[in-house]
Amino acid sequence: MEIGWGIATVWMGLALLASFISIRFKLSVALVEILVGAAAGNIALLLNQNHVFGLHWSLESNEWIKFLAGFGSILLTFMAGAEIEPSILRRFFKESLSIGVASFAAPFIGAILYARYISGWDWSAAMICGIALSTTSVAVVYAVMIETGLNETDFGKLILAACFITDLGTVLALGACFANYDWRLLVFAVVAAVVLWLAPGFVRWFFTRFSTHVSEPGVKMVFFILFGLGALATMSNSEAVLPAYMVGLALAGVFAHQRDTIRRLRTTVFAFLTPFYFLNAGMKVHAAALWSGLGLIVILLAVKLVTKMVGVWPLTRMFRFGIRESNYTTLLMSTGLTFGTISALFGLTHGYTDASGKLHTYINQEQYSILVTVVIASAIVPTLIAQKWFKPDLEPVIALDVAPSSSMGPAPGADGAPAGATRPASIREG
Amino acid sequence: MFTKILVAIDGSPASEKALAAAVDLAANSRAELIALGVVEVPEVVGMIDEVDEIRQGTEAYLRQINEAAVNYARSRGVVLRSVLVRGHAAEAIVKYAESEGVNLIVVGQRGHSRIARFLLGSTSDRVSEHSPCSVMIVK
Repeated sequence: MEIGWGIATVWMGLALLASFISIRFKLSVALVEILVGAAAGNIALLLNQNHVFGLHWSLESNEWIKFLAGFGSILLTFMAGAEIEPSILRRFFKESLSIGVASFAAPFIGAILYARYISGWDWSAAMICGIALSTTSVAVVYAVMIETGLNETDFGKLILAACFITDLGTVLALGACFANYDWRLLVFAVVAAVVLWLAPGFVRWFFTRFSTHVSEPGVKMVFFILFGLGALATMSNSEAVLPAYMVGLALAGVFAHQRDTIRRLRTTVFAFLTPFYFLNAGMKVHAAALWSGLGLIVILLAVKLVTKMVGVWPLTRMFRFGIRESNYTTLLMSTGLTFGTISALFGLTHGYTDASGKLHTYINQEQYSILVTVVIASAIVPTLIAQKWFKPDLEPVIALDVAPSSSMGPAPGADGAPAGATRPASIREG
Repeated sequence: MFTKILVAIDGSPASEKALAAAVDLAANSRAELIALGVVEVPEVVGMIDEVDEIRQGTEAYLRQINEAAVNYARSRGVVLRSVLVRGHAAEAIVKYAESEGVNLIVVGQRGHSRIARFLLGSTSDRVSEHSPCSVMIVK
């Protein structure tokens, strides 16, 4: 196999550029990587069309880039699942399950119906649209809550738990909607059920026994499980992110006590894998499609916001949230980024093969470009509205009172959370 | 004249000048002095870990900066209380100043390029616009 160091250099250069931009402008590196990928991809397309310097300009991902991008998306999903606190989910089970399911189902159904019957997309494309717009970005919600200190309150924990349920709905839909319902899916389901049942106990024992070794056998064990279940999922035309998220959820309790392992894993993921995933997702966005689909982008964003409101807002009121908190929760649950792009990319890279062996992907390039743009807009627009007009009236968290080294103040907690922080009271009514 | 002064610090050369000016002012007017660092986390993020990584890294860095500020003030005979908060820089500075009832905010001006100033705005401009009290911008 040709290693392609030149292509690797260009991609890593783009990742480096994205890092600089994100640090300079205090933006999310994931978002910047998508935007840099989109810009680079479209510039290369333009140069190629005009035969600049008589060269063939292409940043198309080759097989190993596709593998790294896919691995990045699997680890992103796994780590997202592993972030949940099982005790919080148990504590707010009824509320988080209701809000989370409604937050998934309403935009899923609404976006499918709009894409199918008004935009005229075929069923497969409409389903990808529904899945991509059903998501909630746990990361965006978490970031906003960290800033306000809401993550420390019952209200914030409930919303975060509901976000995990919504994302579970998204990965289940992605895994179930396009799977082949045959013996291979049965094998995958049975093996996954057994692994998910046994994994927490086994992995906990494995980490206790081997975690200190420099060759990281614990991390390799997790990769082994993810690859194995991913292979079985792909065999049945399902998606490898489905078992990755489920394994993450199953192992969340184990990884809560393995913060060092998570930190080392995170370094690998951020430095080497997710840049390939996000750059790849951005490079497939065609600027020309955005101009022609501008109206649809605005409408689909509105569909997502309205259907989230229909699904989430009444439930928040039912659970006695105040009006301001209901609006805030609904808007935060309307955000989306990572899972939305994963769903759209799945639609662009998977499909069915006709008799002549030609692959017909579930969505085309134009639909992909529109969906990814809507997903990015959904990360920004509802967040801005929520922060500007509906932010609950809380003081910013006082993180640390710093005294000189001779008389140090309270140290941060073990999880990095501030000690002695001003804990805002719960803002639920009653 | 000024009895309670708040100086915003972030480790930049501009904020070091602001700190030096604020310490001199506090020494001369015998005012209470508070140094405030703001931990900013981007809101639109792709991963929870990204939030934690930035938050923990920034908090650790600002903690060092604030400790150095406390020691610097002490060397000038001034008692400095040092605090970190989370939020958007300008908004957090103004809110904290309101909650503490300070009557002077001291900030440095970083000297952004015109493009950066247009795109990002300036924290010192925003603080001076929204502050409930006098603002000293140190260049």
